[in-house]
Amino acid sequence: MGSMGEYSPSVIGAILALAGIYAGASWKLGKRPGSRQILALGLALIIMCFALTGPIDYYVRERSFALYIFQQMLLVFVIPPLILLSLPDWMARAVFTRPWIEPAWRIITRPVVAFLTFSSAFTLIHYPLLCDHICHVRPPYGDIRDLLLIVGIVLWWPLLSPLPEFPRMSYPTQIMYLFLLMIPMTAVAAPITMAETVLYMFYRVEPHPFGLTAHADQVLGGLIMWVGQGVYLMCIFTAIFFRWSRRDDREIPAINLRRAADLRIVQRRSA
Amino acid sequence: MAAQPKTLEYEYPNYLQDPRGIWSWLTTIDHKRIAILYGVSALFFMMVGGLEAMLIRAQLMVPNNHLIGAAIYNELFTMHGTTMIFLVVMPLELGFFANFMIPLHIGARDVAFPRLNALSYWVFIAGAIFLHLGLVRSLAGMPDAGWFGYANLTERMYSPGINIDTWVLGLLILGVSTLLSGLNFFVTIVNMRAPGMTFMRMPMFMWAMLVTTILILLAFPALTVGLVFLFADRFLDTHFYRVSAGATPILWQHLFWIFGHPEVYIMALPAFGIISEVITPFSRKPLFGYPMMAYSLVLIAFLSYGVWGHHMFATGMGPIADSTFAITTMLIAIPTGIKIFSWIATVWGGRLRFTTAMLFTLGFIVEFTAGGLSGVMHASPPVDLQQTDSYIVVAHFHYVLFGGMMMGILAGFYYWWPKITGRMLNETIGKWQFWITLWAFNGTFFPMHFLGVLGMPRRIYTYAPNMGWDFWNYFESINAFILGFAFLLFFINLVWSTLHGEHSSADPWDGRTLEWSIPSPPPAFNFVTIPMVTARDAFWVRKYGSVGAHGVAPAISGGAAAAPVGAPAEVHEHIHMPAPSIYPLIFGLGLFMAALGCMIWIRLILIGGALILMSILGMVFEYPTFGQFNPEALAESTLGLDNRKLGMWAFLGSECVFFASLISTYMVYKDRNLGGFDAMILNIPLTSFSTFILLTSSLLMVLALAAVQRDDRKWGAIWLFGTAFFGMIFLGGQAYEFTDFVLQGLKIQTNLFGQTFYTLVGFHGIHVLIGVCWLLVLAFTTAAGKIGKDRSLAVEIGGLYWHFVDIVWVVIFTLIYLMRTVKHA
Repeated sequence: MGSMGEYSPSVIGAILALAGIYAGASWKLGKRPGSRQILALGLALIIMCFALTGPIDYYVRERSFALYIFQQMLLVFVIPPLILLSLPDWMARAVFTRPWIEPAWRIITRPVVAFLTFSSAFTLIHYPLLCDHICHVRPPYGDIRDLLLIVGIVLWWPLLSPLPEFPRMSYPTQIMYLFLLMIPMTAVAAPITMAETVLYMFYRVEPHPFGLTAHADQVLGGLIMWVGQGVYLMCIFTAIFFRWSRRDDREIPAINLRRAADLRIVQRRSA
Repeated sequence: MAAQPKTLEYEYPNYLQDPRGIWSWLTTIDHKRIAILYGVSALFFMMVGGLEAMLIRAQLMVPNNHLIGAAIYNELFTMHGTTMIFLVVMPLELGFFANFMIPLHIGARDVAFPRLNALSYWVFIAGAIFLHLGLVRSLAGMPDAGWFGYANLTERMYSPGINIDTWVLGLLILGVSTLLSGLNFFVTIVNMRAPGMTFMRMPMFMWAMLVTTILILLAFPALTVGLVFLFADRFLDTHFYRVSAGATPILWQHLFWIFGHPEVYIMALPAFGIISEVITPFSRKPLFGYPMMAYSLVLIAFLSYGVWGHHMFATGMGPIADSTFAITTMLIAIPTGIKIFSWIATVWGGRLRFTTAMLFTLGFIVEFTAGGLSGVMHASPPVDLQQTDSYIVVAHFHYVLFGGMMMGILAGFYYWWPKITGRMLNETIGKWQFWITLWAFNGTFFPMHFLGVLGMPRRIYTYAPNMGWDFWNYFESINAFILGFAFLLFFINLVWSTLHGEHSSADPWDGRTLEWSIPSPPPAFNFVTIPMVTARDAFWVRKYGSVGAHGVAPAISGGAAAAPVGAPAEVHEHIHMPAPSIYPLIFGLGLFMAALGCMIWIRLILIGGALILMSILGMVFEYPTFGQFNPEALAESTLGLDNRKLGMWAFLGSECVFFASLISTYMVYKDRNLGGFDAMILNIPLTSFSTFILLTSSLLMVLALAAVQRDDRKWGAIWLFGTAFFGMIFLGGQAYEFTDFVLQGLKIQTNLFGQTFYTLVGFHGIHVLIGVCWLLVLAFTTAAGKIGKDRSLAVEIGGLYWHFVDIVWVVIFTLIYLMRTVKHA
C-alpha cells in the first residue's frame, strides 16, 4: 500500500489525456470552447483528481467503504454532468454523429433506456454475490470506475445533452426522471444501510480506517448513497424547477391592474 | 354577488337536468355526476364515521365505563379510522372535488377516461360495502385491528373471525379504485389542459392533484403487496408475518408505512390545493409565491418516500435508521412551512372578505400549523418513544386530519357548492357552524395533548378513575358531541340550501379560475368552446384585463362570460360527449362477488370473474372507436400523445413499485428461511429456455406492431398469434415448474422460500396470463380484419404491456434464478 501522498500515475495520466484530447479536438476543429465550458471541464478534472487519487484513493484501498461509496457518487452524479456541460456542441457532434455511433447512441440515450441502463448497472455492481465472486480479493477499482463514469454519462445525457440533434428532455420530464431515479437508488442503498451483517466479503476484514467497525463503515456508506445522494439530487431538481418556472413566468403578463368590468352570462336569448 | 331572485336560464340544460332518471345516474360517465355520487356516498360515510367517533367518546366519557365494551370499542376505533381515511377524506378530495374541478380548472370537457372514472366509483362502493359486511353476521363482525392492521394481530390465529377478512378484501378493492382514479386524473392533468395552460399557469389545486396522483401511483402498490401477503396468510395459510416461520411482522409495518406516509400527503396535498384556491378570491390577491408553492408540493412528494420509519421508532430499528428518519422527517417541515408562510403572505394586505369558506381556510392555517408543530416534536426518536401510543399522538393526527384536511374540505364545500348545485350555501348557518366547530374541535382534541403527557394510552376502551384523566375525558366527550352538532348544522345547511338556497350566479365570489367562467351548474360538456389560456389566473385576467409585456390580454374564447358583450353566442362547434355505459357498474358488482367468494363460496369467484371479464370486453368493444387514432383529440392533447398510451405508461410505472415490493420481500426473506427447500431447487436450464421463449415473443410483438402499422392484417394476426403462442409456452413451462415443485413437496405454505417464490413468480405468471388473453383478443380481432393501420394503437398499447412483463421477467430471472444464493437463518 502506498502512503497518503501518493498519486497513482495511471489516473493522473488518464486525466491529463482527457485534457489533452479536449485541447487537441478544439485545436483540430479550429474552434474555442466557451469559458464556462472550459471551467466545467477544469472542475470535472479537479474533482476526478480529488476522487481518484490522493487521500480518498488511499483510504478506499484501505477498505473504507464509506469513502468508496462517496467516490462512486462523485463518479456518477458530479463528474458526468460537468463533462457534459464542458462539451461544446461542435465537439460533441464530431464524436456522436459519426455514422456508426449515432444510431446506437440515440437508442441508448433515450430516457427510458438510459434510465434502465444506469439502474441495472448500478444495481448489479452492488449485488453482494457478484461482488464477492469478482472481487473477493480486491475490487477491480479501475474497471468499476470506468463503468460508473460511462453509465453516469448515459444517465445524464437526456438532461444535459450538448447537441440540439439530441434534444434534452422537457423540464417537467427531467424532474420526473430524477424523481424516479430515487427508486433504484433507494433499492440499492436501503438494504445496505439496514443490513445487520457486513454484506461484502472484501469489507469483512477489520479494522477499517477512521476507527470504524466494518459494520458502522457499511452503514455510513449506505447513508451517503441514500441520503447524501437524495439531498444532492434534490438540489439539482430545485435548480431545474426554478429554471422552468422562470421561463414560464416570463410569458405571464402582470395581473390585478385594472378594476372590475361588468360580467355577462350567456342567458337564453329567445325568452 | 348581486341578488339573483329567480333561476337563471341558460342556453343549455345543466348536467343535473339532462338526462333524467335513476338509470342515467347508474350509467353516467360524466365526471360531474360521478363527483356527485362520490360526494353523496362520502357524506353518508362521514355521518357513519362521525357517529362512531361520538360512540367512542361516549365510552371514554367517564372511568370504568361499560357502555359498549371492549370488543365493540375495538371495532369502533378501527372503523372510525378506516372510514374517515378511505371512505370520507379521500373520496371527498379525490372523488368529489378533484373529479368535479379538474376538467373545469384545466379547461377540458371531461377526464381522460370517463368510463374508468365511473368504474372507480363503483369499485369504491363495492369496497365500502365490503368493509361493512361484517354487520350482516353480527354487530361484532366488523374489523377490529386498527386502521393500520398491525401484523401479527391480524393473523388467523389471533383474529379468527371474519372481521379482518372483510378488512383485507375491502382495502384491496378500495386500492384498485384509488389507483385507477389516480391514473385517470394524472393523464387528465398532464395531457388535457386547454391550449396555453402551461404547468406554470395551472391553478394551485391542479398542482396539488398532479403531485397527489403521482404519489397514489407510486404508493398504493406497496399497500397492495402488504395486503396480498396478509390475504395469503389468512386464506392460504402462509407465514409472511409469522415469527415461528422465521418471518417478521415488521415487514407489514414497512410495507404499510411506505404506503402510509405518502398516504398522509395524498390526503393533505388536495386540502392544500383547495385552500390555495379559496384564499385568493377572498383576499383579492393572487397567490403569493406561486412557483415556491408548486415547488414545495413537489419537494414534499420527494421527501415523503423517505420518512416512513418515523412511524416505527418504537420497533427498534437501531440508532442509525432512527436518526436518518428523524432528519428526513424534520426536513419535510421546510416545504410545509413555505406553504404556511405563503398563505399568510397571500392574506397579508389583502382586501379580506370573511365568508364561511374564508373562515374555514383561516381555521385550516391555524389548526394545521398546530398539528404540524406537534409532528416535528414526534420526529425526534427519544421524544417519540415517550409519546408513542399515547393520546398526544391522537391529538397530533387529529389536528392534521381534522384541523387540516377536514377544514380544507369544508372550505371547499362552501366555496364550490354554488358551482356544483347552482345554489349558495347559507352563510349564517355556515358561520355558526364554523365557530362551533372551531371551539368544539379544539375542546375535543387539545386536551388530548395533556392526557398524552399524563400517560393515557391510546386504544384502551376504559380507564381507572383518579389518574388525573377524568376531567379532561369528560370535557372532551362533551365537546365531541358539540362537534357532532356542528356537523348536524352542516348537513342541514347542505340539504336546505340545495332545495331553497339563494340562486348563484356563474361567478358569485369574483373568482380567478376557469370554472367561474361557465354557468352554475355547468352544462354536461362544461365549455362551449375550449378556452384559450393566456395567463395564470386565467379568468381573472379575462375579466379585468392586464397590462404586461404582451399588452392587454386577449379574450379567452371559452365559456359564457368570455363571449364578447353583445356578440352572438351561437358560434359553437358540434360537441360529442361519449355515451353512458353500464359496464362500470357490472365491473364493481363482479369484483364484489369475487371478493365475497373468497369468504363464503368459492364458486362465486368464477361468477364474479365472469362478470369482470364481460364488463372489460364490453367496455372495449362498446364504442366503435376502440384502438382508433383520434387525430382531433391528439391535436388537442397537451403533449401530442394519446391518452391511452400515457395511461399505460403511468400504469406500468405503478406496476414497477408493485414488483419492486415483491422482489424486495423475496430478497429479505430468502436469508431468513428456516431450512428445507431453498433456491437450489430452481431448475435453471428449463427456465433459461422459457426465458428465451419469452424474449423471442417480445421480438414477435415488435413484428406484429410493424405489420399492423403498415396495414398488413394477415401478418399482423400471424405475429400476434405467434406472440400469444410463445407466451403460452412460457406459461406451460411455469406450470410444469410449479407442478414439479409441488410434487417434490414445496408448497406455498412450506417455508419462507416457498411463499415468497410462489407469490413473486405467480404474480408475474398472472401478468403473463392476462397478456396472453389480451394478445389473443387482439389476434382474433386482427384476423377478423378489424385491426389495421387506423387501430394500430390497440396493438401498440398491448405491446407496451407485453414488453414490460418481459422486462420484469428478465429482472426476476437474473436476481432469483441466476444469482441464487443460499443462506440459512
